[in-house]
Amino acid sequence: MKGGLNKYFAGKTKSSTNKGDKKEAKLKSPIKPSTPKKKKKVEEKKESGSTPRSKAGDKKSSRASNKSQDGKKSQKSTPRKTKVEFTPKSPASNKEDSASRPRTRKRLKRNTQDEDIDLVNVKASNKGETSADYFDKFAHKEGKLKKKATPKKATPKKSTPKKATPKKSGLDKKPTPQRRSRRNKRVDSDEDYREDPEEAKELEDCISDSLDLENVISDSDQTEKVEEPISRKRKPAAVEEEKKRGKRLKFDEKKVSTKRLETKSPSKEASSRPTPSDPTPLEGVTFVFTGLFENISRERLEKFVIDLGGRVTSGVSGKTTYLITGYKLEDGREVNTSSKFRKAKEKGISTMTESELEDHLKRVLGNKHFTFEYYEDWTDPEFCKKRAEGTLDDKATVNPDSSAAAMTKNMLLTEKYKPITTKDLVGNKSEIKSLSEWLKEWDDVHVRGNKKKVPMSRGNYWANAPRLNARAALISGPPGVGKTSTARIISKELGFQVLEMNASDTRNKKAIESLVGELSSNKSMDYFIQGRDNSKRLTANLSKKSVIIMDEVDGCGGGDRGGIAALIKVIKVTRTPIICICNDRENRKLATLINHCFEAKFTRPKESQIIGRIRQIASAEGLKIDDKVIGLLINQSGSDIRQVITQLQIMLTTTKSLSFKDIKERISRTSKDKILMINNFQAANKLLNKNEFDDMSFKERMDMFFIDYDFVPLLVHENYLGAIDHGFQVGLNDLKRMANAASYISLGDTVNRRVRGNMEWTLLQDLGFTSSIAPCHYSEGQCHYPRFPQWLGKNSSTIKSRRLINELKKSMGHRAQCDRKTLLTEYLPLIFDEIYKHIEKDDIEEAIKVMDSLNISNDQFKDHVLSLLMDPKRKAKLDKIPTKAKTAFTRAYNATHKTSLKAKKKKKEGKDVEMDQFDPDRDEEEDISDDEDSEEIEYDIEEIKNKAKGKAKGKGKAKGKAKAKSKKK
Amino acid sequence: MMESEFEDNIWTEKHRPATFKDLAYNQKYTKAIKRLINSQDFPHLLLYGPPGAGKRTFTRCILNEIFVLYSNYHIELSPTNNDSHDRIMVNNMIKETAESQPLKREKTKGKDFKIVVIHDLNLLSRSAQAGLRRTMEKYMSECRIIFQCESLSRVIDPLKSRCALVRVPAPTYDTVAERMKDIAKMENLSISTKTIDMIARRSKRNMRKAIMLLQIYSVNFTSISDIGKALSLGYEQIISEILKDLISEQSATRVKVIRNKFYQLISKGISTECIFVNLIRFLMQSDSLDSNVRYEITKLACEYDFRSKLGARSIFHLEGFICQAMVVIKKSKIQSGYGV
Repeated sequence: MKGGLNKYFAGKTKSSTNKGDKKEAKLKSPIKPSTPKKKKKVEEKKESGSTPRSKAGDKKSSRASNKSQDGKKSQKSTPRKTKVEFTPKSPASNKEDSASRPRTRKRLKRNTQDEDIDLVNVKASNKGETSADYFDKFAHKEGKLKKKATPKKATPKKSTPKKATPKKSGLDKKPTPQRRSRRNKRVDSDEDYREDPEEAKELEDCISDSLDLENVISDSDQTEKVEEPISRKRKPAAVEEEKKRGKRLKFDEKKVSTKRLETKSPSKEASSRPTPSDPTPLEGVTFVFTGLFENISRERLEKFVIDLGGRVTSGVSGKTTYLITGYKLEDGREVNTSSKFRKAKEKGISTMTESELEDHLKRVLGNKHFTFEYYEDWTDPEFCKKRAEGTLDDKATVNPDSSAAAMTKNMLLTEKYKPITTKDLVGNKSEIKSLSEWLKEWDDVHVRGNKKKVPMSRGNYWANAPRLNARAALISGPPGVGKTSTARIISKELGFQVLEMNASDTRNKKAIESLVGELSSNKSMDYFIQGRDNSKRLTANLSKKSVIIMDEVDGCGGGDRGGIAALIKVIKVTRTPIICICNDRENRKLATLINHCFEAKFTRPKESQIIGRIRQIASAEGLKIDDKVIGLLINQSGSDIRQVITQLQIMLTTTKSLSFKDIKERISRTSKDKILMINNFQAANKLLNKNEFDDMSFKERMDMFFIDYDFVPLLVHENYLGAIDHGFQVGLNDLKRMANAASYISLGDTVNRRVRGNMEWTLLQDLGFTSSIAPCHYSEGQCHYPRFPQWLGKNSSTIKSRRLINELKKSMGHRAQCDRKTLLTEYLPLIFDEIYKHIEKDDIEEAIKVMDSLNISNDQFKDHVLSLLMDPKRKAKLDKIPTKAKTAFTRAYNATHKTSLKAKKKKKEGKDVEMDQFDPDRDEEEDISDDEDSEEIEYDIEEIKNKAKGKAKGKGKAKGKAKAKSKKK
Repeated sequence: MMESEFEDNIWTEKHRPATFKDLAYNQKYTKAIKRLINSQDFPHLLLYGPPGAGKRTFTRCILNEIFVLYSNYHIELSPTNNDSHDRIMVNNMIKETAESQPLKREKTKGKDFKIVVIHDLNLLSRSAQAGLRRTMEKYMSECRIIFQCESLSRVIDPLKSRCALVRVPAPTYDTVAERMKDIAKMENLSISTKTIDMIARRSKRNMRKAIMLLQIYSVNFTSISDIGKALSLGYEQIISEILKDLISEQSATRVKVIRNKFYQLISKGISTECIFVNLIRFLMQSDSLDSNVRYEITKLACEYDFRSKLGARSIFHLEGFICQAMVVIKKSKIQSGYGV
C-alpha cells in the first residue's frame, strides 16, 4: 500500500512538470512530511488512493450483480471481499490499513448505499475458496480494473495467497510509472474534493512510515515490474466489457460528486497542483548544452530548464554552472571533442550527461520517477488532448495484438513483440519525434504551402540545417535499431497507408517512375480492393492518405541503374510523403539524395533503454532473468534488440530461469560476435587513434583487421599520414616513426600479393600485422574519421589508362613501332605537338592529314591522347585555342569522316539519353578519373554542342558536378 | 603496301631503315644474320637489347629480307601486361597462323614458313612462356618465331635454348648523332651540332628517343635557347618535382603532396620501375646532397623497387621509399647543422 502511495506521490510530482502548474507549485514546500502543507498534500493522496479501490469495488459489485444469474449468491460479495481483504493482509502496510480501511468504508457508503454490505463479515469469511475461484475467473478483469483505478493496490496484493502462479501474480502488477501517472492524474481531479479533515491525523502517521519503507517498496517494485506485461494480454472481449464498465463507473461517480465539484471548482486547479517543491528549483543555475540528446530534443530540454527557473546560455563562461553533454555532437563526433567541453574542462565547470541531469532533476524535483521521456509526453499538446478525450491508448507496451493466444505460442518472439506504437520503440526518441512531426505537417507544408521556418543554430552550416521542408525523409542508422518499424508505426499512427518498396523489389528507373502515376492520384491498394462498394469508397478510402517507404535505398545497385536519380525526380514532385531508409548515410550513391531529404539519424539505443523492454518480454514469456544478464546479452549483441530477443527465444527452448553464470557460458556459444557490429571504417578508426589502439589487446587489434582484411589495410594506408601529421616542426623521431609505418605498409603489400597470388591464406596473420597493426603502432596519431581510400579510384584510372594505351596502340599499329611505355611517354607528346602545330596555324586540313596518317580519329585524339597526356604545359596550350577554331576543326573532321560519324552519332545519342537522367553512378565514374578528365569533358562539350545543340545539357551538368566535387576536395 | 596511302608523320617510323643495306650500325651482326636467313633454314630468333637499340628495325629488316615488306606471311603480337589469358592467346595465334595456308606461296622466296613476331617477350606470363615450348617444336616446320625483349631475365631457360639469341646493342653516341644529322638533313631542319649533341646525350643512346626529341624540338623550337627544359617530357618533369619536394622538406604533409604526384604518374600508366629509375637518375644529377646520402637513398630505392615487384600496389612502395629517404636526408641535415 505504501508502495502505491509513494508511487502515486511520484506520479503527482511528474504532473507538476506541466507548464500550467508552475504557479501552484509555489504553494508546496519540499517533501517534509511534518509540515502542514505536506500533510494536506498527503491527505489528498491518501484519499485518492482509497477511492479507486472503492471504485473498483463498485465495479466489481455491479459486475457481480449483473452476473447474478450464475446462481452463486455467495460470490456476490466476493469481489469486494477480495478487494478489501488484500489491503489488511499486506504485512508491510498494517498501519496504513487502519487508516485506509475506515475511510474506504466511508467512501463506499457515500457512493452507493446498498453496496455497503457488512465489510467486517466479509473480511472474516474471506479465506474461503470462493474468493479464490472468483479471482481466477475474473483475474483478467480485475487486473485491469486495478490497473485503471487503483495504483495503490498493487503492492499489497503481492502478498495475497492468490499469487500462486506467476501468471496470476502478473496480473497484480503495478502499473509502470508512466501509466500510473496518467491514471493518477485522471483520478486526481475526481477526488480532490474528498478531503476529509478527520483522516488527516491518521494519515500523518502513515506518511512517515511510508517514507521509511521506501526502500522496501522500490525493491518489490522491481520484481513486480518484471511481471507487468502479462496483463496486457487481456482478451479483447474483456477489454470491451471493461470499457463499458469504466463508463458506467464514471457516470456513477459523477452523480455523487457533481455537487461538490461545483462548489469546490478551484480544487480542480489544485488537483494538477505540482510537486511540493520549489517551482523554480533551478533558479540561479546556468546551463550550457552541447550535442544531441536521446530522450528529449535539445530545444525542449532548454525550454524545460528555463521553465524551472534555470538559465540557458549558448557558450561556456565563468557563470556557467553545468555543461550538459549529449551522447554525440551534431556532426557525429564524440562529445568530448567539442569546444564547449574543452572550455568547460579548462574552467573547471562540472559537466553532466543526459542521464546525470535526469538524476539531478529527480533530486531537485523530489520525484524519483521523473524522466525526460515522460516530460515529453506531458508537454505534448496532442497527448494531453487525447488524454482528455480518453482516447489515449495507454495499454500495452508489449504486444496487444495477441488475440490468437494459441497461435502466438509458437511464434517468433521478434514477431510477437514487434513494436506496435511509437511508445514501444526503444531509443532515438527525439529523432522519432521530429520524424513524426515532419510527417504530420507534411500536408500542411506541401499541399497548403505553409513552409516551415528552418531553425538556424549558431555554428551550423546552412547545409547542415534540418531540411524541414523536404518532401522526403531519410532515416539512417545501423541495422536492428528499428528504422523500418519506426517508419511503419509513425505512418500508421498518423493514419497513413503504407506502400513499401525494399531491396527485393526492382527499383530501377522505370519501376520508380511508374510509381509517380500512383502517387499523383494518391490512392492506395485498398481503393481498388474495396472500390466495388461505392459508398465505402467515398467515405473510407478517398480520404486515406498514403506514404511510400523506400527501404534499403543504399542497396539500390546493379540492376537498379538510375534508380536513385529517378527517386530524386519523384521526390521533387511527389504529392505523397516518401520515407527512405538506409544503413550507410555516407554511401556516395546517396549523396545527392540526402540533399532532398529531411534527415533522421538513428543510433543504437543505450543498454539502459533496452533492458526495460527485454525484461518485459522475458517475464511475459515466463523467463526469469536478471538485469545483469540482460545487460550482458545486450552488450554482446552490440545493442541489437532483435538479436537479444532472438537469443531469449533460444534460451526459452531449454530453460525458464537464467542466472548470470549460466548465461556467461551460453553467450560464448550463441552471441553475435562483437566485432561484427563494427564496420570497416570504425575498425580502421580504432586502429588509427592512439588512445583506442592502446586500449586494445593484440588480439583485439587483429580482430579489427579481420573485420575486413581487404579494406582495412587500404584505409590505414590512406589515413596514417593524416594521423601522424605534425605540422612544420618535425623532429627526426617523428620522421622515423612515419618511415617505419610506411615501410611496414610496403612490406604488407608484398605479403598481400603472396596471399592472393599463391593462395597462401595462412599468411593472413602476417598481413594483418604488417599492413595494419604495425603502421598504426608507429603512427601514434589521431584520426577523426578515416577518409575513403584514394587508391581504389586511382587504381581504376590506372587500369583505364592502360586500356586507352592499348586501344591507341591497336589503332596506330605499325605506325608506332614501340612498346606501350614508349608510346605513352614519348610518342604521345610528339603526336600532340604535331597535330597542335597545325591547329594553331589554323591549317585544319593538314592537322586532319596527320591524324589520318597516324590512324587516330577525332574521338581518340580527345579521349585517348588528351587524357593520357601528362604535361600541363601542353594542355594549357590547347586551352588557348579559341572555341571557334576547335569547332571549325571538328566540323571539318566530321565532313571528311562521314561514315565514322554516323556510327558515332548513334553511340552518342544513346549516351545522351543516359546522361539526361542525371545518373549518379556515371557521376562517380567521372569523379574517379583524374582532374584532367574534366578538361576532356569540357572539350567534348563544345563538339557536342555543335553537333546537336541542346544535347550537351546532360554532359554540362555532369561536368559542373565534377568540377564542384573537385572543388570540395 | 599500306604505307602508300599516308605519309608517316612520326620521324622514327618515317626514317626507319627497311633493309639491311640502310641499317647504319651493327654491321657486324647484320652480316651474320643475313647469312643465316639466306641459308635454307633458320632457327627461331630471340632479339634482345636496351630500348631504342633497334630491335624492331632489325626485325623489319629480317622480314624484308625474307618477304616483301609488310607481308601476309607474318604476324606480330605484343602481349599486354597482366593479361591472364596470354597463354591461350599466344598458343592459338601461333597454331592458326601455322595451320592456315599462305595465299601466295611464291612471294616467300622459296621459304615454306610463316613468321610470328612476338614483342615484349618479358611481359608474357610464365605459363604462356611455358606453353610456347611445345608449340614452338610442333609447328617448327610451318612457322618461325622472332621474339623481342629488353631483358632476358624474365625469359625462361627452355625458350632461350630453343632460340638463336641475338643481342642488339645500343648505338653509340656518335651513331646517334650521325643519324640525327642525316634525318635533319632529310627534313630540312637546320640544327647546330651542339644541339644535336645535347639531344644525343639526353637520349642515353636510345635511338628512338633521340629522333623523337629531335622531332619535338623541330615542332616547338626554332631557337636553341632553353632547350634542356623544353625537351623534358611530362613524366620526367613530375618526377624531378618529386625529388625537389623530397629534398626541400621532410614531413607528413610533404609526403601527402608527393603521394598525389605519384598518383598522377601511376594513374597515367607509368610503371613503378620507371619512376624509381628516373628518381635515381635525377638524384645523381643533382648536387644538393652529399654523395653518401645519395648512395643511401639509392640503396633504399633498390630495396623498394624490389618490394614493388613482389607486391601489387606500387604507391605503397613508392611512399615507403619516400618516407625512408626523408629520414636519411633529415639525418644528414641535422649532422651538417641546418636541420631543425
